[in-house]
Amino acid sequence: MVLEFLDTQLGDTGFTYWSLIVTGIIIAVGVIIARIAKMIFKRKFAPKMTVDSAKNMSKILYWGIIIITLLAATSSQGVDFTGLIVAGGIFGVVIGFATQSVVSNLISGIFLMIEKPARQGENVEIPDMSILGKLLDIGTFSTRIQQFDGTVLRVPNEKVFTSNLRTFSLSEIRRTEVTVGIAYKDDIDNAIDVMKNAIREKVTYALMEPEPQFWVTELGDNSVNIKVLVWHPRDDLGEVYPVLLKILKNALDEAGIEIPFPQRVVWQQSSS
Amino acid sequence: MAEKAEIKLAAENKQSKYSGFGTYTITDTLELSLPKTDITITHESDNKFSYRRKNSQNEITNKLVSASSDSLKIELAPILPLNLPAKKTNDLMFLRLEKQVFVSKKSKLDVLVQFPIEIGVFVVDDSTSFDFFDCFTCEPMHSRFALYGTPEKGNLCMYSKVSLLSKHEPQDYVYAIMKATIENPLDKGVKVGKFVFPVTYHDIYYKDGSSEAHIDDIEMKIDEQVLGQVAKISHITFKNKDQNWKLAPRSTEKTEKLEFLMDRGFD
Repeated sequence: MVLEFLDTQLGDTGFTYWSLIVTGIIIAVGVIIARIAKMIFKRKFAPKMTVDSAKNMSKILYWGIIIITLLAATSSQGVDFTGLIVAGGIFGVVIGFATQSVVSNLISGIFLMIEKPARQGENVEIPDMSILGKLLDIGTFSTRIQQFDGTVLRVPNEKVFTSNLRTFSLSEIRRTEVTVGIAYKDDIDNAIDVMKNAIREKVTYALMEPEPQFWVTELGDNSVNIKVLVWHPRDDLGEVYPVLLKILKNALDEAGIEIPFPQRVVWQQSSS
Repeated sequence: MAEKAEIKLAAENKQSKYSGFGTYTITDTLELSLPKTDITITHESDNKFSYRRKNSQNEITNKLVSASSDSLKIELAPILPLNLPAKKTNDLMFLRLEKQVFVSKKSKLDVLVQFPIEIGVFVVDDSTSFDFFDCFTCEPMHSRFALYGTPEKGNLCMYSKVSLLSKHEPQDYVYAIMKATIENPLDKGVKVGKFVFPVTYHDIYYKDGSSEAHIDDIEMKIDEQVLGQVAKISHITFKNKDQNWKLAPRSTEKTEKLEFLMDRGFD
């Protein structure tokens, strides 16, 4: 009696009560599996991942299982998707054109999460876009970077993925470079000694080893140009770069070494 | 009425103008004088005390301290040099020796080495509770960094250039003394020019009223591995034969005992 009832056709749809119950069970089991998978992922794997990667992977895992479940449920009932696929194909082309950038950002975001070019909280630079700041997170469609003036930039993932990305995280130190020009009449070795002592005594964050380096890079129009390369802890650019030139200039001034300004010697020809 | 704290340096057997390590109780005003640093603590009102520190660059640090009673007890003690100019490193110390040491083949050598210290000011609540309150250095040149290894793969360390000592002698608030035992079991002599090791397991000891400080010792054992010569640095507890040595309070947590492998050179 019950079996007969369950086997009853629902109009011309081709569905029976039994097939609907089976579909419902498959969907319910799928949702439960998705939730359990999400919970296991959060407990076992998420702690080892960055916060943004864990969040996005968790969403992908959950919705992936739900979609597979829906497909399994519908195909188990022999639903014919041929018409839908044809209509969907045309609709997909239209939607595809309209949402090209959205999908591109989504795919770029997934690749960024897999590639992990930088970790959350690290300083990054995108030179092509003149962006420098701390990476807040890589989201589904965009990446947020907090610049050093406190403002937050939302950069589409596609742009981050296709641009050069400069990071500073692989090494504990980084190098700052400035160029100082001295007059041709001054002794180069003496000037280097003066600058070396000034850096050692006054630039607290400059590393003692490796020592600062001094390269004579150019015999310029007005000065002998010396490039000064100073290593310092990775996150202390702000402690070194803004004060370095001031300290070098003061030291050279005290030592009587001239920093020449651009000058031209004009020879006047006598008419006689 | 200001109390001027003075100490007698035993080694020099003469009156020093500097205040010694130890405990001070302030009821009215206390003036402490250390190399390149002056500290004044004044009783303001009730249980409030003002703290003023001036360094050699005339930079002034002002703080207000609240005590549990109308007198304040502080302890001036040597601490590990990890706080200045900022806490950045993985607690590694890089000691560059002014003179390289040559250790002959199959030999063992003990050397006394200077070890830079910072000076900590602690508020003492009872005999066991020390609250870290302020720190400074009498030699700003020791608050420096260096890298052990290459820029691509190196460790950031606190850095100091130090001398070998011929005997135990006070190092006037700038250095503690550390004994380093270097063992070379190899068939050839080696040159040692630096020690790099984690210091947060090390304790510092001082003598009350003096400027003397001693830190736990280290042992360096040279070894030959596939990639070249390496040195394993281990911690050795300071054998406190003299009862006058007192354990200094800590400004940092004491970590687990660690060994460090100097696998990127030690010359």
